[in-house]
Amino acid sequence: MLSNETMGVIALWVLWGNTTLVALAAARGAFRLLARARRLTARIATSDESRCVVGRVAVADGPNDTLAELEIEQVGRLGGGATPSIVFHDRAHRSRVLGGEIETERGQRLRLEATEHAEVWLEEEDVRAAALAPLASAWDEASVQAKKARGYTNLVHVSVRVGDRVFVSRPSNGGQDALVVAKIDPSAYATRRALAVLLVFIPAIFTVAGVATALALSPPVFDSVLSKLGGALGLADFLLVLPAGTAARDYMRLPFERFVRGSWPAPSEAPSANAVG
Amino acid sequence: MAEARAEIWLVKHPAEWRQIGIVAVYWGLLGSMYFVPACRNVAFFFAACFFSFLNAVVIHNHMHQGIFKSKTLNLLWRRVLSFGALYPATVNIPSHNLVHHHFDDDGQPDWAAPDHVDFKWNLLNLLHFPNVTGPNTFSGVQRWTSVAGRADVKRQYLYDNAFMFGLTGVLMFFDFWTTLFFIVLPQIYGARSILRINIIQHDGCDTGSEWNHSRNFVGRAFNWIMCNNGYHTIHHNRAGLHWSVLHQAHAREAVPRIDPSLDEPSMVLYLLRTYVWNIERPKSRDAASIEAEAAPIELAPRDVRRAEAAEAAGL
Repeated sequence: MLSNETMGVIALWVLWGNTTLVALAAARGAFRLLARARRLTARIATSDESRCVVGRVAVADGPNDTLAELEIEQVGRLGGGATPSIVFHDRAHRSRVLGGEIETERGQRLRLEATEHAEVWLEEEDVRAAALAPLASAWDEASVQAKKARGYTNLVHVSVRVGDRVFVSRPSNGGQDALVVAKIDPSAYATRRALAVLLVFIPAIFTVAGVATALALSPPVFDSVLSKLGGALGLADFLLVLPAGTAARDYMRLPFERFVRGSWPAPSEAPSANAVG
Repeated sequence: MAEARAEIWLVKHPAEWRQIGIVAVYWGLLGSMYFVPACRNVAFFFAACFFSFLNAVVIHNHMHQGIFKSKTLNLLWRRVLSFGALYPATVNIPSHNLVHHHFDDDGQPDWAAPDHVDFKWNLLNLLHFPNVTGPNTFSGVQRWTSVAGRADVKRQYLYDNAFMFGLTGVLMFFDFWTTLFFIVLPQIYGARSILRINIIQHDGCDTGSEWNHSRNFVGRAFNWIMCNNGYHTIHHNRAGLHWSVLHQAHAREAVPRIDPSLDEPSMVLYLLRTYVWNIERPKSRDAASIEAEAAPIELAPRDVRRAEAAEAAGL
């Protein structure tokens, strides 16, 4: 006979074991991010400015004064909601440096050669704005493609141009880390995200599991309303900690591979380029 | 004569009675534990967990080819199966039939790709895998159902959810702890086990190849109770084949084209060898050469097979 006490121990073991696995996976991702941040910090702090610099783009070899760009290939399909819209799915993220020169804050020039072994780190808002700013007048045409199985292909380009302030970190870690061209401080970004996961997310999921456990063990155990409430909370926590874990994983994705997705509603009767988003 | 009549009554294929029997036994185990305190013992509990996994196997087969001749019965059967696993069976259409079978979500990785987990200690990968692939699947399904033309799948998904959570909720209302311990725990075990199968069947394989993308478990008794779900290579490539004939197709088409190490005689031994006796994750091997040496065989490209799967799902 399996008593409620025995089964309660098994259920708590499952809840805590699973929470620990989610925490371990999150911590692993966070420590990996911190290690990356340390490598970026070391390079930015170095006195050898030919290897890592903060400066402004002085010369760009690409079209429209573009030094580097992030391209996101999206496929759009007609949405199923009441309001007509095109729903986007990110198919691929590509970073490339087209070549150019950086004028460092110490007044030196650094030449960057064209390469696709690169990561272009941009502000999230800039990328979203670029993704959601197709011309409203083209919606009808796009929606025809979006109805087909192949979907409507949308190439989102966000550029680093002449005059932009950038952080540049040369390939490191035996070539595993690509050339980083960032409009945000990459080290600070990576550190902030990693610490948020380590100091907020992980303690939070253990706290919720702790609260559920404490409630479930409220006397008289198994008979009180609080005890049942704890059991229900434990089940809810077990189910919800999993998407929380993948949300933490996505939160730690680096800016050059961050999901954009989004949707493009049909323009209203008075269309304008800003009517989308 | 009587046998011929029995074969065509109600179900599309006589082998489906095995699947119906599995689910009936599972419901019997759950019902026994819920209503009869004496049945709340180790034997019933472990049997319920095992049959919950088999229930999820039946979900897999049913969502490829409905068991019954009647469309209404097939939809009702989805609800029965959904309750057994506490996950909506309809989810399998996008997550398994359309994404996993082709190892690709329109340019992004399969929601159940083995490399979603990357602990150095391989046992943790096995344990943690459902924690990642479960949410991947549900967020993927949410995005997938937001597209036009998928309203029916979305509706069935909601009905599955309503039935499985509704019935579980009613049982909880009458006996909270018995439901949590003897209904929900087996349900969750089955759902998580069927997710785990993905890492067991594909980790270390070459999902970019046409024939060496999967690991097969070829024990006869195993495949009897698992309704031939051990023959995974041929199932991926010929998703339209009925599960009862997979062993023949495996021998005919897959065996000459796969690395012999991808035919495992025993899943238990494989699990022990891979996750218990070895700490580290086995490395992937290049198996393309054996495919190149084998005689050519007609196999539609993956996007064509995906389109066929979508058509079969009524999309």
